[in-house]
Amino acid sequence: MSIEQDKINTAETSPEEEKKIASDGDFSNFDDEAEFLKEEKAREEKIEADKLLPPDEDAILEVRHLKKYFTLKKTLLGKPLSSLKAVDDVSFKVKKGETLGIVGESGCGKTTMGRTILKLYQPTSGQIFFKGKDIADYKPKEMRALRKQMQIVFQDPYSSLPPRSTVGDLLSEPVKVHKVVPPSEVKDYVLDLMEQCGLRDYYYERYPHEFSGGQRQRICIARALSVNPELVVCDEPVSALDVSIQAQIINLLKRLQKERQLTYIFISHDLSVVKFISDKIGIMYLGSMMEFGNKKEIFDNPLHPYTKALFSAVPNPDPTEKAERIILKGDIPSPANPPKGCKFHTRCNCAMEICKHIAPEYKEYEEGHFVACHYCEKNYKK
Amino acid sequence: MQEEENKIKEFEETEAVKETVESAVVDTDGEKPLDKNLKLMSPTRMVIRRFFRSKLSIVGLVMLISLIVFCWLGPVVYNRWSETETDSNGVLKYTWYTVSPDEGDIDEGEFYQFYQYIVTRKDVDTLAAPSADHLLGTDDKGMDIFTRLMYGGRLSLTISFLAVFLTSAFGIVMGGIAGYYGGIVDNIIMRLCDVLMCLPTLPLMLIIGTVLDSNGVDSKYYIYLLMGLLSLFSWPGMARLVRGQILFLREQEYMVAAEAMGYSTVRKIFKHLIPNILPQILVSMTLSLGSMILYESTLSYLNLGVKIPLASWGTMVEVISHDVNILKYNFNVWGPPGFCIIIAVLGFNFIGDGLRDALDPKQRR
Amino acid sequence: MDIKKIFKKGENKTKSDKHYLSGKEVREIAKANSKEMRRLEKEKNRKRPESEYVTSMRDDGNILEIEDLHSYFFTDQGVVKAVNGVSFDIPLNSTVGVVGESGCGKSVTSMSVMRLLQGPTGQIVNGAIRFKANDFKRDKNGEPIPVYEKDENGDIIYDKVLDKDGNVKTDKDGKPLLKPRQKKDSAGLGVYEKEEKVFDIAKTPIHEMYRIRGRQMAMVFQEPMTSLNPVFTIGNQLDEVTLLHIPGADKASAKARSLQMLEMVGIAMPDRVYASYPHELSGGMRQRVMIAMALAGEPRLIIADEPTTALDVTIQAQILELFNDLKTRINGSILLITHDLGVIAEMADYVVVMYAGRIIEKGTAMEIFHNPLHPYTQGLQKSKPTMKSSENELFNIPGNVPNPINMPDNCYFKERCSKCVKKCSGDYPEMIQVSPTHFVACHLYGKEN
Repeated sequence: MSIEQDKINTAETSPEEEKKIASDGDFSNFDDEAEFLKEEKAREEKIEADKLLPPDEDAILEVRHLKKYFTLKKTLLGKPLSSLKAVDDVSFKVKKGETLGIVGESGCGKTTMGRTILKLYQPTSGQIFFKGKDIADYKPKEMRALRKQMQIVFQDPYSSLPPRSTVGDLLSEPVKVHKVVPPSEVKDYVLDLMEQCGLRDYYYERYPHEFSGGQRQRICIARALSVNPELVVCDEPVSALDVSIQAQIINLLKRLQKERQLTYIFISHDLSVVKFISDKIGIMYLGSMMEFGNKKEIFDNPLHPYTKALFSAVPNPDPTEKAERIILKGDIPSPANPPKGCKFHTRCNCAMEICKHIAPEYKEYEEGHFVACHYCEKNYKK
Repeated sequence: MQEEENKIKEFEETEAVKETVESAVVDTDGEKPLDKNLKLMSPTRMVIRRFFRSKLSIVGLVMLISLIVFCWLGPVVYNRWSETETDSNGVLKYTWYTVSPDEGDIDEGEFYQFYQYIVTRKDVDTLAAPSADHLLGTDDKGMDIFTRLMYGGRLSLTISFLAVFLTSAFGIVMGGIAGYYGGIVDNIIMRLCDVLMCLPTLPLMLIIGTVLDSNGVDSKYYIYLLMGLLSLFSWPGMARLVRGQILFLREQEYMVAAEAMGYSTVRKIFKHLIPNILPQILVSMTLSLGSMILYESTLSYLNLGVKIPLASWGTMVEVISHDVNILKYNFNVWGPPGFCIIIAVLGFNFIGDGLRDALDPKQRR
Repeated sequence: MDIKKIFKKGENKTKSDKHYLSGKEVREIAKANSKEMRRLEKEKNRKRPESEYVTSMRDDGNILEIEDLHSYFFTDQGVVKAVNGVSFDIPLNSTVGVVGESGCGKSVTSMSVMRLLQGPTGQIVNGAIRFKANDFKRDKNGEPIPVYEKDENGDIIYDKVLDKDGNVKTDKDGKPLLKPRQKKDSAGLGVYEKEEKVFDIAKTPIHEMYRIRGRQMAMVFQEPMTSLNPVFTIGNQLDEVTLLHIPGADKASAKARSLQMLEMVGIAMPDRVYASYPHELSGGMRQRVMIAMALAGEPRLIIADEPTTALDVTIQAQILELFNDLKTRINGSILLITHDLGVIAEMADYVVVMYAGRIIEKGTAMEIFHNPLHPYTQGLQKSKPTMKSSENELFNIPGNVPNPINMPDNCYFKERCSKCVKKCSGDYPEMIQVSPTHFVACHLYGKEN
């Protein structure tokens, strides 16, 4: 399937572009295999070296070289033959009270990353420091106690609420399980929480299916906050909602963040929403972080060609301004079979010959502004 | 006058102001009066409404309720005969023979004629036609069919219920384990299912029946044993259903949410998974009740199940297997129990279908 | 304290019970619904003479005129007035965007235009949908009339009829049999005479709709993953459209046409895509194929129901560019339905804003985006963060999108509106004309103001 698709994709690059790509350096005698192994070795060494570094004191969450592979094919003995690299070597830091926005298209692994951080998926390798402790190897039992501190809000408010519990039940259950308040105060606590999240008290005995998407999302947020977490992963919390409701939910999230000193990891494909809510932004493509930095830097000075293309692709709600648009060619390759070298080179309009062969290094160009791109490396001037 | 008018005006104005204020004070979010106009259907009512929308499920419900009333309340009202009582109020019957006397005893020249009367009482009224005495006549042992129909129904229905519960219990536990834990456990249980599904149940039952017979097991417990064994063989269907449902539900976001909430495995299974597959289980149970009744009848018909004089619908039909004449001339003996079986199976199937439609969450609200 | 709590609980209980329908109400609704549905179904299936559904346009420059359309759904909870008196026009060669939130009736409008509402619950209750079709002209037998090729003098060119062996067939007198030569288009499909005919779609019988749907108007759906049949190749499904809708089409010419269509929607390797199955293509490619399929019948109206919602931003940009490109190349109009104001701004010439089954504002794209009048339109534009904006708090419209059952008589937006005036508690506002093309339904812009 994916092979077919790739053929079609690559076919869409016009001959002129081929020429342009070929003019950068000579790679005719380049040994892909050998170079790849060399690269791999260097990377492994770096990971090993980084492992020993102490966790950042300031950061509430620090992720180092996180990898999550899903096995697609296995040998008879269960050895993985081929795997889908959903998250492939991602590193970042978030400080307390900050919002990290993760942007990417479908299949870029942003949802998987969000869930891996919460250990809903067991990471393949890498370290996850939550408040200075590496939780990557925590057992489910140890994690259960930690769940109080990290929560998640899902994209689809329809399937993320159990259909056969009333709102009151599903909100008070986590409170009871984690013994947040004494049993006699549970109901008052829940009603108080509902009020904070903009839910009426008489919703307490209703079922989720009686509500519209926006109210359900409020219920989801209330449920996540019921255990007083410090970190909340918001996995596309407004994508399934109407525009007028989106604004309500975003404002609610912002207000709650201010009131409760929450740290958000806000995953979304909608750039304008991410821009609005985030302090830091990471841009992902096919499981790798392409660019990472402060909101201002990313938006004012995007360095990666993919970031630029992504920004220009957002439709502008002003009919008079028809901005010059970078239209990316072809489709997103399948994450099960990503291109060699830089993963973005098949669609990149600045691709050089080197991009086809060597994966670019994820480097810090300005303070806190990381980019993985050869083109940027070549053209960046301080 | 003027004052009053002014007052009214003032009042109206304040009212108007109040109104605008009321509509201007919009809380940041939450429910608006517009939504209050909207009444929804409560979940229970929705299910009931969907169930009764189909005519067939109403028919099924009527069939079953009348059957159950007939079987359990019937014997209380119509207690003229008991289950195993034979009608011994038969009619007197005379036979006579002409007896020719021995030669030596006879005086010559005289004419003797001997009659010998033998009075027999046909004290068992077998194969009687329907009458006021026996509403549906009697069978070849002289037992009242109408009464036996009621008692037989009790037994047939009870046994099927028990068997279905047993099967479902096995199925839910095994399917639940397989679905929740997955991996090697799942593999083992599912392969076990495959093996069980390969076994031909009926021949197996025949063999087991013979074994039980030769070991002299009391025929009273016979059918319970057999149906128990049957449940042991027929749980894979339920297990597969449960496993499939659990595999599906496990991927649902609210299960991931439950995991993220840090709930224990037990809580996740019993509080979140099982209640959500109950509807499907219920539907499947109802549908399998019909087939269990058929199984019971089949076993009884093959003389493996309930044994005469105890009554069950299958046993009652069984009479035709050893007397063709009954099949030919006495419809009232085997017709009614056969009809009851049909009614019961159809009823359960109709209700099952109705329930499936009613409990299907994908149906429009 | 405890007593208070118990009291509180009891109060809650009554409240929550009250919001459910009682058994009596349910029965009443069901009874009324079944009566109404039976009447409408009967009306729908009635045989009608052609004169009843062939009408004329109000304005000849339009391709579609929707007038006072009411489409209802008869549900167990009451009548959902999904489309409640909607009127707008689609001029020829233009793109009209319908924008609104979920449940505002924008999709139901498009479904009504295609007559795809699921009966018996979904019904067009009232209104007219006039569509100017450009159908094949038919003779008395219902056969389409071909266009014949003519020489310089304007005479029809005749060909000799050949038999199987390639010999010229002759009639009784020995003269060769002649056949007029039909004009062919670039794909080798015969050309037929066409005529314009205006249908009132709300009244057109279904068998007539089969000739309109797919050929005269085509639809592009939201979900490219599910709207293609997974067991047939793309080519198979594309050919089918041609074979079905163009008389005299054979396999070879249908394939030629399908390849043309694929090329037209910007697929670089049409041959390869033609032979592949839907699952082998990505979402963007599939949506292109869907558009090609819609174009295959040479429609005058393409209804695009959220064509880019399921796609990624970069792919969405590609598809939008394709639509903009097609706009100039096809001789027809596009009805674009979406919730995304950005997409509308990029694509549409005219914009229709819907709320709870009614149009609250319509006008040209410039008017709607630069001078929005209705508080809802204004709110909608302000509540979406843009790439340029940098406020600290988003404007939000309070409350929820209403469920259109038991709507009050006053303005539906009243409860969420921040600019309410006293008059808003009165009747539903009339459509007020602000400029030749700009209409708004709001009491703020009455005659007095």
